[in-house]
Amino acid sequence: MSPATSPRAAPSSPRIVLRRLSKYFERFTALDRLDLAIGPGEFVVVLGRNGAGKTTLLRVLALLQQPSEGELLFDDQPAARLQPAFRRRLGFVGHETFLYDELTAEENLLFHARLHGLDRARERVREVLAEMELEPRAASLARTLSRGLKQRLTLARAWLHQPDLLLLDEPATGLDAPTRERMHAWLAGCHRQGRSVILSSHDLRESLQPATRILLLEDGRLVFDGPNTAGNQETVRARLHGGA
Amino acid sequence: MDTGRVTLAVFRKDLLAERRTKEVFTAVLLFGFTVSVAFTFAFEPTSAEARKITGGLLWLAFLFSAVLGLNRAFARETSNQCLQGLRLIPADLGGVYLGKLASNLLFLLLAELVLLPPFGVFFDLTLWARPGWLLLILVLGTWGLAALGTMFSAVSANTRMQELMLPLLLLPLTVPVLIAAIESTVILLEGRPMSEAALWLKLLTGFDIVFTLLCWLLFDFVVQE
Amino acid sequence: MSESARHRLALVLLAVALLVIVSAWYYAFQVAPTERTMGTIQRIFYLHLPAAFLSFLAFFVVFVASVAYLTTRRMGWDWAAASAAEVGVVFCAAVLITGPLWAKPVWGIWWTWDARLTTTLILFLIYVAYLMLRLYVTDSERRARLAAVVGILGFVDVPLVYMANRWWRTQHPEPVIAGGEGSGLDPRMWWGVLWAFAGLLTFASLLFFQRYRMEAMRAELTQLARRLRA
Repeated sequence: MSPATSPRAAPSSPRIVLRRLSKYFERFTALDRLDLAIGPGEFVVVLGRNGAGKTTLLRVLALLQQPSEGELLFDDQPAARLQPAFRRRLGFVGHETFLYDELTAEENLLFHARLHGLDRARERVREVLAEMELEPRAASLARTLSRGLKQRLTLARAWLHQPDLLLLDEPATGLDAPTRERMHAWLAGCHRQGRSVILSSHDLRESLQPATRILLLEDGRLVFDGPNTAGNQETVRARLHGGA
Repeated sequence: MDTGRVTLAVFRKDLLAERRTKEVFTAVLLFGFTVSVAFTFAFEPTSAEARKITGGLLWLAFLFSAVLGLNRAFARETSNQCLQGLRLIPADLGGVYLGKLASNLLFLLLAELVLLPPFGVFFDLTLWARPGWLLLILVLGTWGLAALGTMFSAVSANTRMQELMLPLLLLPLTVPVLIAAIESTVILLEGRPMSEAALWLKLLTGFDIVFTLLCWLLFDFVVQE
Repeated sequence: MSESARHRLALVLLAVALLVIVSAWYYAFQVAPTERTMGTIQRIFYLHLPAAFLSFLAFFVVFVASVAYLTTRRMGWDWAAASAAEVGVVFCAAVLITGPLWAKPVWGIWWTWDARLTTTLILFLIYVAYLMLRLYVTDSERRARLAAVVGILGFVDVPLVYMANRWWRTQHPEPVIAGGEGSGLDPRMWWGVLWAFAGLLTFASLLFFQRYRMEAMRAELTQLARRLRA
């Protein structure tokens, strides 16, 4: 798996700023006054225990969830005022697959390609199927795919339109070690092309390798933010496993 | 144009899924058939009075089975959170509404057309005397049901009592459609000139256009988070 | 407006409402003349007609508040919509109960399928469904959004429901109901209607305001609970 790029798509990843950003769900505070700035071309890993706010953060960044308070800016533009066309620059992989069970892998991708208004949709779909090594199962119903294949298909869906910013919520969950490795290598490749990658994990193993920055969330608050060094990895590991 | 592209893509996808599973069509057809049979027990089918109410019975059968079908159709979008996945596209979601409206309308119409012959047999009706008018009434009436039905199935999917919310919302709001469709059908079945139904057909058309436009504009608000 | 200010306003509204209602009641039963053909039961008309008008007004408020919420996203509009819907449903129920109470002794039948009464029934069902929708959505932001959409669709439907019922009535005429609402009233009866309307309006405002306060307090409570947890 290596990300191919068509000649015209020179990625220009956006600069992201969060200012006192909070998200409430009735009495529960998922994100608590986050202040964060992520530059273009960063590879960020967001760590935290279950319920720390990782999913909410990624969904807010993917424009799937509106913040309750505070600001979210992409290239200094408030997210609320962004045109729908901006979503072309985002790719999101969440907990749910967003796949139609009764459609084949290829049909699922074709649907999304058409929705995105991609030229030569069929060809692009075949390209991506090849990249993700899904060709042998292209005509299988999504329902019949294993967890690992579904994850690759979901990644394929997010990759169809070659977004500048990739947002992945615990993408390694349920994958076996070799698949995880290949996925991380692929993401590293995307990053090398100049794209931003933000992925979340509650588990430290291989996910830290290509990252440039580590964030740690606890109860919706940012408790650690630093470059990906061995020392920082240790600090975060201790905090995650040691408790408050 | 964005909306057109999205509408077409969603319509084609729904068609593909339905061709493969035939869930919605079968549900609507079978339920409509069962309801029609139940009606034959409740109402003496061959008496002269019955002719006046069969127009009503027909549309009640369509209404009840439509509720079932609409719920089934939308269930495809809620499994695996597909509807949320659609929010990632670089276009507003009105096209999704229009696409689903079109596919729902098609499936409901097909089921209704298949339901008509047995219904005619049970209640001893000559349905095909004026097929053009019959088709027009079916299309306009079902369009009204589908316009609000598609919208409300999206609304209901966000609530704790999904299956209850759809009929609870749909039945009172589609009263104008029911009255107009029933009256037009009765006029058709009794062999009266269709000019008498002009007012009803105009009401149906007005309803369909107004609510399709309104739901198209408001759909985005329903699927946001 | 602070909670203590709201509390004072509520008391003022209550006092005004009591005053107007008592005088309207007195007018309806003592001052207004007895109707020639129908007798004392006709006095129920002083409740029936204003209640119908007020429920319609309440549903119009739901419509306006729904549009306002979707455009401004201020929760106050959602609280207003919820309160207005409840008030509207209560008055709708009043119309639907007083209708048969009036019809049976006068015309011998419990229900007359005239356009206005039938429309009120459908309206009642629409807004009960609206309230049920509110009940079954737990997240307050989602509830506000979905309710606003239904509030708009419901109100746009009202003229269509009325038209359909009206034309249906002309196709299936029932024995003409003599007199009916508002035909050839003694001027003193008109005063009775106005007084009754004023009384019900103040009562409705009080109900609306109290309900609005409840919603405001509920939101405050949620916010406090949230801060406590953090």
